[in-house]
Amino acid sequence: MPVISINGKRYESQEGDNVLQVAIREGIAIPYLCYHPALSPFGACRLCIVEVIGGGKPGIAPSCTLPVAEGLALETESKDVVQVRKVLLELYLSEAPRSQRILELADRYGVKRSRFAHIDLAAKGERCVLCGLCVRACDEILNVGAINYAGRGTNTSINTPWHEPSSTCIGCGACEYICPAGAIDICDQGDSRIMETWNKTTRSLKECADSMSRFATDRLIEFVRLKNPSLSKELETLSPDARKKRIAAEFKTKRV
Amino acid sequence: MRVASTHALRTIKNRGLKSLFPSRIRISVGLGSCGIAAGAENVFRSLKKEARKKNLDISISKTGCLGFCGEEPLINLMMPRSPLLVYHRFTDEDARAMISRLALKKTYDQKVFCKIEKVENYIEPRGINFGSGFKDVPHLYEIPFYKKQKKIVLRESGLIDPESIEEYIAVGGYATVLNVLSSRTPDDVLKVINDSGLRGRGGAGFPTAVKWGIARKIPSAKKYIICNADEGDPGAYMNRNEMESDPHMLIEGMMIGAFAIGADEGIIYIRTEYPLAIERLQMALEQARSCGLLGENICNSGFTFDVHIVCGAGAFVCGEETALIASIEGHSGRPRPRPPFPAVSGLNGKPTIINNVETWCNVPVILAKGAQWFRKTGTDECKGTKVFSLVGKVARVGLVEVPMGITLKEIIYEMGGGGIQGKSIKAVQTGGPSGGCIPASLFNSKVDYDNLKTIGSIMGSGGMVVMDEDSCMVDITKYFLSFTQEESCGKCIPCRRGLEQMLGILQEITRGRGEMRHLDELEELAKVVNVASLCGLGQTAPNPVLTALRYFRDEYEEHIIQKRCRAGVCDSLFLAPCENRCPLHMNAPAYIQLLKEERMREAYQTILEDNPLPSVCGRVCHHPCEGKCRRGEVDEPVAIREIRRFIADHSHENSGKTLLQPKVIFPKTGKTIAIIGAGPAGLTAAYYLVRLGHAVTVYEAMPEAGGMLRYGIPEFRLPKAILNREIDAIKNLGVDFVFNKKIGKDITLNTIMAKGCHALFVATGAHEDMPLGIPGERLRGVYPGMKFLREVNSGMPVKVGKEVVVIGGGNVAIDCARVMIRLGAQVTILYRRTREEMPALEEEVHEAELEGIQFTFLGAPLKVMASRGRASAIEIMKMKLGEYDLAGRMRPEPTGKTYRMRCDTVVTAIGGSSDSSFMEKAGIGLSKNGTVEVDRYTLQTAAAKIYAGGDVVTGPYTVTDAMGQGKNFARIIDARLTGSNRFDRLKKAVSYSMEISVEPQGGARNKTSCASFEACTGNFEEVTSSFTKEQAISEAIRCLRCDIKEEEGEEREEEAVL
Repeated sequence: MPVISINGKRYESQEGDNVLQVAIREGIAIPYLCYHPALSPFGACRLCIVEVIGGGKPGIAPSCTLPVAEGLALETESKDVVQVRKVLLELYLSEAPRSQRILELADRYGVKRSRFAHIDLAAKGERCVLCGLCVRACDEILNVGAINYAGRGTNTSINTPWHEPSSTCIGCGACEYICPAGAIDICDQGDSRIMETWNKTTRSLKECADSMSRFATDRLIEFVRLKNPSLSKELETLSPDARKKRIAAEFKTKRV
Repeated sequence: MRVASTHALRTIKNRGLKSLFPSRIRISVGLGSCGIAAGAENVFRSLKKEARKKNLDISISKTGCLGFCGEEPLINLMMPRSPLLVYHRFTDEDARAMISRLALKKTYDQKVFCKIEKVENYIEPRGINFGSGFKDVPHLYEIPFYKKQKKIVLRESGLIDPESIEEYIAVGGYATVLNVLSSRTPDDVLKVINDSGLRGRGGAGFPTAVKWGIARKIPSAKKYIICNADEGDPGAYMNRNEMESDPHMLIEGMMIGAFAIGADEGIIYIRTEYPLAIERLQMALEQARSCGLLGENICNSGFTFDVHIVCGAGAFVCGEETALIASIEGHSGRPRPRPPFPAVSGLNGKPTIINNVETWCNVPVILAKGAQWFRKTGTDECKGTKVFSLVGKVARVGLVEVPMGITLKEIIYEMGGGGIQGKSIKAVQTGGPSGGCIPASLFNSKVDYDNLKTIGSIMGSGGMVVMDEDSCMVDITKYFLSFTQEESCGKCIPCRRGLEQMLGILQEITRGRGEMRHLDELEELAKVVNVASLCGLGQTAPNPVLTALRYFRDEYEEHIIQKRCRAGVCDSLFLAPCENRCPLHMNAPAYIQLLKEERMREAYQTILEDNPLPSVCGRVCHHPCEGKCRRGEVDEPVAIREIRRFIADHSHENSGKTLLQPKVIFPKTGKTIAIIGAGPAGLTAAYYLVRLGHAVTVYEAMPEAGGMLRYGIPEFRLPKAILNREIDAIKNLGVDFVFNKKIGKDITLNTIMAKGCHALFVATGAHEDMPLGIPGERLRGVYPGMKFLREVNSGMPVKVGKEVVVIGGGNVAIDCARVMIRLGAQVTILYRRTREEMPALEEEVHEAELEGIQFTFLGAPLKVMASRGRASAIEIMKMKLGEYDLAGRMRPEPTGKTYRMRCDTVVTAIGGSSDSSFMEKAGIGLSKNGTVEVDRYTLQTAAAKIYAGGDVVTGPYTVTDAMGQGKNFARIIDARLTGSNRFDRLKKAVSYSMEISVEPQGGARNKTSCASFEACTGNFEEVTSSFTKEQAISEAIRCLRCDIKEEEGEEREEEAVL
């Protein structure tokens, strides 16, 4: 159980933890974009940097990939950290000028505007921060891998293969859910779900037997069934709301 | 045949020895990529064809590269029991001629480069003896390029056939690994590598044994070793050469490494751009497999190992180990955070050791010869050698393998031969785009991992890109940054966007839109990209910018403040290279074109707008413009100075009595400006300022104007009539001259300032002779050079003897000598270095030689001997050229041998200085060598309203540079006094043809005719005459018109400047 020091306070941690995990657990605010507890650390957004001042190689390091070790001491808002973070936020402001999350973070650090030149955002849009959470959720959690990084360097974007509607996307919406930048647009129209961001990949929606509402894509339901064939058939035909209603109704009947 | 034992290896070895040392003649052709590029394949074919035709029974084989890529094609000729003869720059004709000679049982004696009698550092303890002979041919290690090299990794490169496993075995190959497998434990191997101190040759210098130890300790049924052959630095090709020339060495090294850590699978990750290396490696792997040296249970040792090749698509980031692993796994090449390190969890999650090609290549020889042997080479912290590819603006290009701890000076000046065509070297980039530019002033630095890091660069994998005076440091940094920006994988934001922004700033600066705040932004971004990037690519990418800002900040400032690129690269900032180099920024393409169109008056006006002394400069300018003339890359530079002289002289001759005057004159401003000194700087400043409407008074110590032009340069180079004509023109514009007033003696700065002038320009020059500091210097018959010229030029009678020795190698020394010979003396110039190092203009030295002046080089005066109180002889120390200094000149060193030279007159001309004590009295600081300190960009001294320029600031320099400073002062002070930029309005626009032909026009450079040099005694007539009109026009046609540029549009961005 290594004890580490963050901003002068001592915290117990678990072997194998990284510093960001400890900080989140202890309620210490370190900004980040690309970290998610359900996914492997990625180290791309660099906002979670901290300054190691003891018990390790001194200097700036990202907390999400910094393993805890007995005696590790660090600062989360040292002068250097704040200075570097501010410049990173300036870069983010020019990269994702319309991302709400970036605007909030920039505001928190007093970054009013970016000194840096406007850049061509045609490839990736004005909100995406390229944190890769969507890619990893789709790949690591769902094993679908419908999207990935495309291009490289300044031309990097996240997209489907060949920038065409995806053949493998199941329309689950995990990408939209996990995106910290609000950069992924998915909308349900009539009997279809359209993944606008993924080149209008379109999936048909299942109609709920009770409520007649459209609640999930056919592909998602199939995906779930394949994963767990023992699930009740009912789940495939009813929307979550309708299911609740039915269960509630059954419950009521039983009691009565 | 399968090798089951060391005995079987011996059988193959014997076959290899027979092939390597046949009883007949053997020719081997250097067929590395560099040789092939130079045409070696044709040579190889021609040799075979001719030998067949002549029915000659000789062996013609391939070999790798001997390292000296600039001399390719290199071929080796080996006759039994004779030294190996190396021929260079070999052509098809040479091939035919050689075979014909060999058919007659004679050696071919053309293009012989060197010989090799014995090769050291072989695995074979006895080395290899080829035999001795050919006394007149230098040994390989007598060639400066090889002299300080120590070939360990490259020991067999260029000698054995890389496509023959037998020849590799013949020189001791695979014996080491078989010995390791049969009689050593993995721990033994680790201990030897650890004791040897081997550090990773990929650039970071991590101790190899430590890395291996980590992977060895981790229990895992599967482990990998990888050879990182993803060599991607611009200008680096060491690894390519190592693999092309000796692929088996790499395989053997990997086998030993695999045995040490317990891996059974090896991968060579190599870029697809190296087809020849891939082909040879594949061939080598097949050979090794068929010999049983790779595969299951190698030589019955129980050790199983094989190697396969994975081709990378050429992404630079794949040289980063985690990206490399991702690429092998089939993912796109993006790095992942470490830890875990690959040694713990690498390819497919298994322990993986990744080393650079050169690291693996060092392994067999260390195991064979022992750690102690290896430790003998190198420094305390860094053992062994390092291979560098020495490229760029350096005279000798190629691969050099040097002991760690050698200095940059030794590599660049001694091996590399310094700059191309005598150009001065500015910096060297080590470590490619991750490294830094090291300025020539630090070339005493020792080359090893830690030292290079201290000075801001890195060792890197071994690219060494040399930059000279024609390289712009802003442009170079822009190039490296555009490379890393292009190669960034895009995963983390500092590298993805930070580099893009940095590149954008550099583009603004090179386009003349830079601001000083940009430099701070660059530094801030550089720091963020460095500390916050995920992998080595981003972390090191700002290095070129940081080192350039550290060592070459003045060049950045010039781009920003003066909008000037001194190297003549950033072409948005200038008209043409000649104009850019000219201290007066004369628009040569314009007057050359006007001459072509025979519009003489306009041509002259154009010159006069840029230069108030056209005829004078047409004679005495050191024409730096011609050094930058692009026509020089075709044949010879355009004779720009002579064209200018022709236009000026022709216009004067045809203008009758009326003086030609500039057209634009501004109305009076009411501002007064005082100028101290009527030399080139003062006259130029006065000319522009009076035209701008200011009241100008020039104070001069001598009775007439001209300064050095009048009192330094002799009549035969610059006739007084010509000088007077142009000074009169300046007088006629309304400049007031006050003669015979020496500042500090007859008049002070304060009295002039008290008269109410708005600005004062000190341009007093450097007229004092530097003393030699030897006994006898004050004897009768010893003249300080400038004083002597001053007296002669003032018409004073000077008594000279019959035998004169002039000490010095500059233009003043040459002028003194040429005056002396005209006064009837026998003259010898004594210089402590050689003719090559003489700072005097080449044409002056040449003319002096023609006039019969003797030269004694490598002699330094020790003492002037006296006879009856008068100089009678000089005692001279014989010098030799020793170590290189930081500017790339060999330093003269005393040999201890002295001798005497008889003479009755001695002239000392070893440099000048200025007497600026009057400035100190006014409270203005002087530098250590007595020059006045001014702001580089404004020429302002520490005192308000007082400025200075010319030799008094720069120390003794050139006429044109002094004039340039005078012109600069006029521009600056006018803007300050009037608050507007009026200077450029002094020029009248003139239009001329902007058409050019695609092909260069005109023939060879025209030469001026010279007076007969034999009859120079007593003759002070001008030596050289002007071009004829026909000559001038035919010379003008040679101009390539670099001022005509393509339409503004996409700027070239990634074009290599290397």
